[in-house]
Formats: sequence, structure tokens, C-alpha cells
Amino acid sequence: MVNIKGLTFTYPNGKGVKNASFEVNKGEVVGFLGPNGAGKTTTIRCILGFMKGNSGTCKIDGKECFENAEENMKDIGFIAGEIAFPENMRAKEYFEFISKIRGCDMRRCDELCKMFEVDTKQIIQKLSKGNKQKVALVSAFMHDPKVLILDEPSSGLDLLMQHKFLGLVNKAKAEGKSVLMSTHNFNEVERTCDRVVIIKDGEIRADKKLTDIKNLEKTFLEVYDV
Amino acid sequence: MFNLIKLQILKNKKILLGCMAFIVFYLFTMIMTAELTAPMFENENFQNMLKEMFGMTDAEIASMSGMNGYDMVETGFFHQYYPIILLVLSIILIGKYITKAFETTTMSCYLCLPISRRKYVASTAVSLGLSVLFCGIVAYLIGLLTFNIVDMDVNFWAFSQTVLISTLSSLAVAYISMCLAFSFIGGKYRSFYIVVPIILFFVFMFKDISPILSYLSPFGWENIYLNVIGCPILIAASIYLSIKLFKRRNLSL
Ligand SMILES: Nc1ncnc2c1ncn2[C@@H]1O[C@H](COP(=O)(O)OP(=O)(O)O)[C@@H](O)[C@H]1O
Ligand SMILES: [Mg+2]
Repeated sequence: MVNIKGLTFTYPNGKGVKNASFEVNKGEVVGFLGPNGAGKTTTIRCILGFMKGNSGTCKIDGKECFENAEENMKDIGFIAGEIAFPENMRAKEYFEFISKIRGCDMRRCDELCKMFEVDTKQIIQKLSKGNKQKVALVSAFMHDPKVLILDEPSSGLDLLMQHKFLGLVNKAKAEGKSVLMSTHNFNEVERTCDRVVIIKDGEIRADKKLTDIKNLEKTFLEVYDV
Repeated sequence: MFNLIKLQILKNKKILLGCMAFIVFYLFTMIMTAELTAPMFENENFQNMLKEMFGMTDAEIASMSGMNGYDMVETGFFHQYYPIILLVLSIILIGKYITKAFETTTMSCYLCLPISRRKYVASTAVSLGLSVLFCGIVAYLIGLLTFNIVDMDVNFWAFSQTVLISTLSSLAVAYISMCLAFSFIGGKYRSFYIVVPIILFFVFMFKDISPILSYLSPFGWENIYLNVIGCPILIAASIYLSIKLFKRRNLSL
């Protein structure tokens, strides 16, 4: 589904992603690991078509990401690492806005809101971090997308919500969706992922099946020569 | 598209309301000042004080007391400052609007929905235009209403002309800035978007040289005072906003 080949993106300060290649197949959850500043968010922004790589290709379902951003977005659910919402908007209004733009109904949204106990009547900016994250979760899952791009999705969630969220990811996997999940939580990776991609200083250092890894933490630290 | 425009207008309603509040405050202060100061010149004690403290001559005082407060507003503040105040407010509105709309965080929360860059910029432009127009029209109505209530003899046509023209010139600033934004996205009409603002710039610049072009000056060609203050504001604002947008040139995050 998601196919990245030799993607390079450099910020004006020289940082970014260098020659990254990996893919996310149907019905697969890929964990995207790396410390802060490794380039996870940068890669994800290229996949979403927010930016165009300096070289290399980046495709979703065979369609180039930057050129077909609008079309691709119909099938993508996205949670941003730095979550942002339109200002002065209640969660309910936000969901209604999304459902109008995406042309999907509110049934699934209501289910998800109930499941995550989202306070839909409050202005989103006034919610606490964890509650904002829940709003982002609902907005990413509400249209039942084929591809899920999750950038640190469980940050700020309490244990119960994390558990529910992982259940949601596993359900999506069983339904044949593709999930790319950047995270710092090994427990999360072990419970959901089929494969892990480890990135360091903008370069992909490892791309392994989880079944081939005996100790995830050890492998991760080895990549970083700690 | 309609939803997007509606959302963008609602999102910026605070700035819009702020502008309105300022207009009302401005008109109110102006009238109160006129009401309070006009009778003072008729007062003999005040006239004596002016003579002693400021060394004013009888003739000077006579010319000032001949003017009533409303005249002062009408000739002094009203015609010359009201459009400029409007212009400055609109430019603040436009600046806030554009910087907000093209912030990384704001953009990412729209672009992760099936909305193309082009649609996003277009909706920003339309909602911005509507807001400025709304601000201008309301300012016009508030102005008319206020001066009607205090029963002032205002030349309605001149008033309409100056206020509406300053609104239109604010729209021109918005348009130029958005044109430049479009031109950075590239695509089919790229050259059009670049050429139009350049032509507009030249129209502004050479208004005093060519008598035909001077008709196009946003403040009317006979009002030199407004041109001297207003046009540099317009040009500076356009340049400032274009520089802001230039940093976002391919609308990447
Ligand atoms: N807009 C930007 N301009 C310049 N440098 C950036 C920008 N965004 C991120 N970077 C740099 O790129 C590197 C990768 O960042 P990022 O992809 O956000 O890392 P992370 O893996 O933590 O998500 C970091 O070193 C960061 O400083
Ligand atoms: Mg990140």
C-alpha cells in the first residue's frame, strides 16, 4: 500500500531524511522507531504529501503522494505528532466538519466517541493533552480509512485508553488495513506490529520482522551502539 | 469548499469583532471630543487662558470659536482619518488572517483532509475578501448611523466614496498577497498571478505622474493628503504580506 523508495528530504539546516526505503503492505502494522529528531515526522509528512522529497519516490496505492495528495487523503487516517485543530471549535463541530468534507456518516464517529469517552461539547483547545489526543484518534478512525498513518498516537493517553486504542489498531489490521505507527513505546510495538523500521539521523538502519527479533529493546539499542 | 470558507470566517471572528469594536470606539471618542471642546472656545475664561498661556491672538481664537465641534470633526478628523483607520484595521485583519492560515500547524490540520492546496488557498482568499468587505460595510453603516443620530450634516456621497474606496483598497492588498501566494504554488496560471500584482504595484507607484492612472488611485485623485499617507501604507502592507508568504512558497510544511 505505502511504498517509499530512496526518499530524500533535506531541511534548509541540512537535517531531514536520507535515502529511505521501506513499505507497508496490506494487513500489516509497521512500527516506526527512532529517537526524537531522527526524521520520523519528516518521513510521514512526505507520505502524506505535505512536502515533496528532493529525490526518490513515495507512493500510496501506486499514486505519487505529493501530486495526488487530495485523492490519497480520502483513504488515509492521520494522527499528527504535533496535533493541531481549527480554533474555537467544539469537538462535535469538528467531527461534523470532517464528515461533511469526507462525505462519511457520523455513526462510526459516535461509536468511537463513546468508546474513548470524548467530551464533544468542549472547545478542543481547552481540552487536556490526552483528551485532545482522543479527538485526533476519533478523527483519524471515523471514516474507516484503508491506510492509517499514526505519529506517536498514544502519547498522553491513559492506560485504559491505550489498551482500547491498541484493540482498534489490531482490528484494523484484521480487516486488511495498512498501518504505519511511529512510537516510543516497545510494549505497543510488541502487541500490534508485524515489522519494525528503525531510523537514525534520517537513515533507515533496520527493517525487520518482529518474529525475527528476540529482544526488541536490545535490537533497538544495538542500532544506536549503546 | 463552502464549508471550508465558512469555517475560516468563523475561526477569525474574534479579529473581526475587534475591528468593529475599535471602529465604534473611534467614532464615539471623536464625537465626544467634538462635543466637549466646541463650547469651550465660546467661554471667555478659556479664551483668556489661551491668550495668556499660549500667546494666541484674538484673530486666531475667533477663527477657532467660529468652528463648531461637528465642523471640526467633519473637516479635520472625519474625512481624512476614518478611511485610514479603516485601512489600517483591514490590514491588521488581513495580516493576522494570512499568517494564521499559513502556519504549519493550521495547514496540517486542513491538508490531512481531502482538501487540495489550491482549494485551501482559494478558500482562504474568498473568506478573507468576504471578511474585509463585511468589515468595511459595517464600518460604513456604523458611521452613517452615528452621524445621523447626532444630526450631523455629512456629505453622504463623499462619505460613501471614501469609506468604500478604502475598503476596496484593502481588498486590493488582500488580492495582491493572495496572488503572490498562488504564484508560488505554480501550475497553469502562474504567470498571470505574478504579472497582475506587478501591474497593480506600478499603478500605485505612478499615480501622481500620469493623470489617467491617478484616477485609479484608491483614495481618489484630488485628495493628496490621503494619497501621501495611504499609498505608502498600502504598498508597505503588500510587501510585508508577500514576504511572509514567500517563506511558505511551495506551501510545504
Ligand atoms: N520545519 C523544519 N525546519 C527545519 N528543520 C526541521 C523542521 N522540522 C524538523 N526539522 C529537523 O529535522 C529533524 C527531524 O525531525 P522530525 O522528523 O520531526 O523528528 P522525529 O523523529 O522526532 O519526528 C530534526 O533534527 C529537526 O530539528
Ligand atoms: Mg515527531
